[in-house]
Amino acid sequence: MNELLEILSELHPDVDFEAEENLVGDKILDSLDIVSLISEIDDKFDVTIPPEEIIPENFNSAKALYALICRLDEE
Amino acid sequence: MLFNSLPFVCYLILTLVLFYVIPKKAQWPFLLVASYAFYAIADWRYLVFIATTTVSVYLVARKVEKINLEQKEYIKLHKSELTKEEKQKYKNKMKAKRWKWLLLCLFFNLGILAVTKYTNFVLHNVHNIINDAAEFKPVDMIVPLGISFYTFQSLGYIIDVYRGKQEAQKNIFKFALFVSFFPQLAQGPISRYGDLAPTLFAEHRFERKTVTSGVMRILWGYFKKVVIADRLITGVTTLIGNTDEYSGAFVFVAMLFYAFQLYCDFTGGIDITIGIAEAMGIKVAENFNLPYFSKNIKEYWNRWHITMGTWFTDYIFYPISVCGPMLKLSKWSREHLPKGIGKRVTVYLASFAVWLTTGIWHGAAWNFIVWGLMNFVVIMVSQELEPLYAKFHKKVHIKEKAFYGVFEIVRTILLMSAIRMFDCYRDVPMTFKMVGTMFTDFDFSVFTNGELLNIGLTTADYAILLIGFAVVLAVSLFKLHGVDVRERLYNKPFGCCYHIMAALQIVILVYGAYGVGYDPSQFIYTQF
Amino acid sequence: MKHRFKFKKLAFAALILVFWLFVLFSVQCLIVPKYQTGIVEGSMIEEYYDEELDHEVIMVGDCEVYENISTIELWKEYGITSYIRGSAQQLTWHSYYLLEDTLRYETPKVVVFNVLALKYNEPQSEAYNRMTLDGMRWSSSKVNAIKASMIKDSVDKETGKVKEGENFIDYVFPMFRYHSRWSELSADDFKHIYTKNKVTHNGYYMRVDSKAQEDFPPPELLYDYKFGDNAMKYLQMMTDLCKEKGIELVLIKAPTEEPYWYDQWDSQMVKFAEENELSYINFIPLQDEIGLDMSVDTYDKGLHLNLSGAEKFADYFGKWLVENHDLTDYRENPEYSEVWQEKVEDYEKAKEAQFKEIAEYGKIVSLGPIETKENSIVKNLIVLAVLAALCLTLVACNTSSTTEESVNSTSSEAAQTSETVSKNEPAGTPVAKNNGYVMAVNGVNVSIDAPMASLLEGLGEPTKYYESESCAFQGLDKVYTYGSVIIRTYPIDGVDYVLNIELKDDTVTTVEGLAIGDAKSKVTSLYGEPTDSNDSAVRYVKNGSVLTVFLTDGVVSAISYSSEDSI
Repeated sequence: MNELLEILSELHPDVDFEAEENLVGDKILDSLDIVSLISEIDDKFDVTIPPEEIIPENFNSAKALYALICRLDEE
Repeated sequence: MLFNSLPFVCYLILTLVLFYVIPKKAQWPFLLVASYAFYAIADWRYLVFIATTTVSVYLVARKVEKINLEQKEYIKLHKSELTKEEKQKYKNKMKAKRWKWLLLCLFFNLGILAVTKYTNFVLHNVHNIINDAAEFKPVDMIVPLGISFYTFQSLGYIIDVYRGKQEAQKNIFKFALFVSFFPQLAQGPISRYGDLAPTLFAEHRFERKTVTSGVMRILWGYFKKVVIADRLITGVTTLIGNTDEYSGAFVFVAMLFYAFQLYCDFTGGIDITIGIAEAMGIKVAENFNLPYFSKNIKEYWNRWHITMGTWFTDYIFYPISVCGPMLKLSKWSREHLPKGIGKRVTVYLASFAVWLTTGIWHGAAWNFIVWGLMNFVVIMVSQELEPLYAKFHKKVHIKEKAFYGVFEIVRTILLMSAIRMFDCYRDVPMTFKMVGTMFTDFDFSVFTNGELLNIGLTTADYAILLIGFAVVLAVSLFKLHGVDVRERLYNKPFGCCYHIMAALQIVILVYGAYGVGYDPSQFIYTQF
Repeated sequence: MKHRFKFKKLAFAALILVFWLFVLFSVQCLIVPKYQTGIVEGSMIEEYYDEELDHEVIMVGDCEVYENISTIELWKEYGITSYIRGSAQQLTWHSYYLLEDTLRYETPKVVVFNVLALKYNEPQSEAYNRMTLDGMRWSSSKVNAIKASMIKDSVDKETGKVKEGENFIDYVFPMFRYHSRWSELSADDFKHIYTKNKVTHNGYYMRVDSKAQEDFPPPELLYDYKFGDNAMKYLQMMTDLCKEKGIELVLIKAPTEEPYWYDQWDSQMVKFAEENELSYINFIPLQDEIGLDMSVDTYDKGLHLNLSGAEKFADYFGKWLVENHDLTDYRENPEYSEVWQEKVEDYEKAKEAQFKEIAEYGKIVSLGPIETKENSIVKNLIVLAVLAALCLTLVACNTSSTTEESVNSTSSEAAQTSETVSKNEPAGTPVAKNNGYVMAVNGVNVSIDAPMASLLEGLGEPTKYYESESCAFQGLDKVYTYGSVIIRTYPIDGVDYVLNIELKDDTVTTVEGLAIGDAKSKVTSLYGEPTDSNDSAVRYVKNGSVLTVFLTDGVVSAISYSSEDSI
């Protein structure tokens, strides 16, 4: 989780990712951010997020994103 | 039948009345019949194309779903016996199977699209390379009405089914209605199955509020389309058509007129589409969200032709940017290239692909491709310059001032309008030349010497346009501040909204630019 | 309680609906042309429905009846009750259906039809269709009249573009057709939104001014003198209809000489009348007998008669009618004489007013309606208030343009109105047929549909020049004569285009080398097999232009160039 927060805050140093619950809806993360995020996650967690998982619900908060990573890792 | 033609209006009224008169169970089948009739009236041969796409996508979706279910069933049955590796292997095998079907479906339908729309473009270019002396004779092709729209809508559906996000529709007639729903056939929006289906196949009771609100939206659309856009088009075509005569400041005028004209034409058409659906209780996704209030181009593309933008993002941008080779490239570039650019290189590659396809999607011509890539360049440059901007703003503190927001909006409108000139002149070198004259040869006297009265617009037309602009702006500002104008009017006493609708209808009838003396211009977006 | 509430709601909805339908109706009334000043021809047809009493003589036809025969004079002299159902360029099918329409209301003893319109076999112009048809009351006759008259969609041969024709729906809802007039609305449109003033005296359009007849240009050579099948079909229908109703049909050719009435046409009429046992009278040779002096009895150089001419003609024709038909002298009938006395008074008043204007301004300025009925000012004011909201924004620019117009002289005002009528006509600017047959005149190549202005300088001073106001107020038809070459032009939007070119004697040869007097064999050796031929002429079509070679006894007697569109 901490590793993920690190990646996130590197993208937007001014955002408190632990508290934000609507990252996509509030347009904090745009499509470019999401793509860099996915490649970083691929790098650090060795988890590939497939395009069908790129939906707002999975990216709206750090928690949700972490849950996604865990789920994909298990499969 | 164009939206702004009398037959369409009659057809629409008839459809709406019948929709509520017939038994509710028959509503969606009736819409299917009405949609196919609409298509057949345009040209019965179109039916072959749309039916082919419908059937092929329907069958493949069912097949892909079957494979999906098979897989689930198998895993459920053999849950205890399978090791993780075995399970993964089986999954991959099934995925490859699905992928094959999907690919077949994509190639088949994109093939139809490519052949009908792009044959002449390709032939012309080949012809130019081989032999530029002889005159090029285009092949006579039928381009089915709205083929880009219904093809993309169907492909979005099949990809969703493939991804397991969407259950496949079992009733082929229901699916046929999803593909052919007539209000959105000609110019979108590109609906997602999951968004449209629930209300499309539901039973609808006549509710005064829904119908009133839908009809209000239809009228508003017609106002923008018929009173403003169709009137402006005379001026725009004159300015664009005579490049020798109209250069310099005229290009600037043409640019702004075209921006306003395109806006009214396209949003007006979409208002009619969504209004028709709304009057029948069907919810169609919004396609615009005040695009001309965007502060930058990226934002503009999130607000203009939204359904197309998200389609490209979901089905082209993400798949490309997160596919295996791209992730590898991304890893490599982050290690070997400077920090900023290294991170974004894959994003840019994917964006490039998106804008290239967006350009091609808009039309089979070089000018559209250049137009698409210009959008890409501007977005990329502004992204790369962002740190510079940030530094600048930190020092100057201009960003907090109220007028800066207005400045950003005006800047975005001008930039977008300038890029759009490729779409106007339809000739790449000519566009560069004409836009160039805007800077070298700008003559302010054209605004005062009355020459703008010679482009097919009279003083009275300008008066109407000015009033129209004010009304559109006012309504937009209401929306910007979260006021639902239609809702508010509906709640006013004494049937206020009906008075306004009646008055608006008379205004459209009297001040509309239709009939003899006006070209019944096609909706600009119908051709895409 | 609930019941009452629902009723109230329904009543309110109905009220809203009625109110807005009324507004819509009023806007439509406002937007349609009123034809009350300048060109009044569009008001003529509807006036008939205000008639209280029956008529024994009904006349149908174009300007050759409604400007040439004074109905009031017929009454004053012979006690004939007559009505002219005529309007500008009223074609044969218009006349047929107007007659059919008239017979719904009354059965006259005699119907008079002026035969000049037979020269047109096809619908001619939307503006004139509208002027004739808009005034008709709705009936199956009107529906059929519209169907027979509408200009069809056509494809321009040069550009391949489809020129859109008329739509039936535009007649049902005139607003669809006229809505773009909103920026041209004048005081007249507001004043006559519901009520119109009379512009004719039982269909007779009075003009007291006088402009002497001058030389007419030489008549155009025609390839085929036979009247078209379509026109003749409607004449036959008219004949049959009259027979069926026991009405005597009288065919006349009014005594005016221009547009030219060919002998070949005359003999066809004589034959038709004989076959159908009708009277046909060509009054042109009877000018002297009628007592017409064309130096004073015409107001437009001989095209139409003025009041004194129309009265002379009415005297003569009325005498013939009374002698040959069993007509009643209604002057003894108190009911009729009371109504007609009023008509006579209006007639005298209008006459006086026109003479007064001539005395004052040297010409008729108002050309307007006969002010007999007082307009209900209050009624119009209410409507104005309703419409004010809608028009508020536009009043400013409209008033300025109206005042500007009213400063202009009558003639230009008329031109402006006709512009309004024909402006939106689906006619494009003609394209010179340079690739077709071309005639070299004085070293200048003249092609059909070329703008005349560009040629005038090279052509030099014409030997003779005529101009005549086209019957259809579309401007001036001009005829230039250069030795033995005649060039005719027609106007569109104030620009003259070459209509046709004629060679009349052997001093000139065609570019290809054909001259008058050459043998027929030379024609085919120069031009090949003709596209078309008849007893007296051969015709070649090339890229929209037509070369017609007229032959007399196997020898070329005249050559003409024209446009394929005019075939």
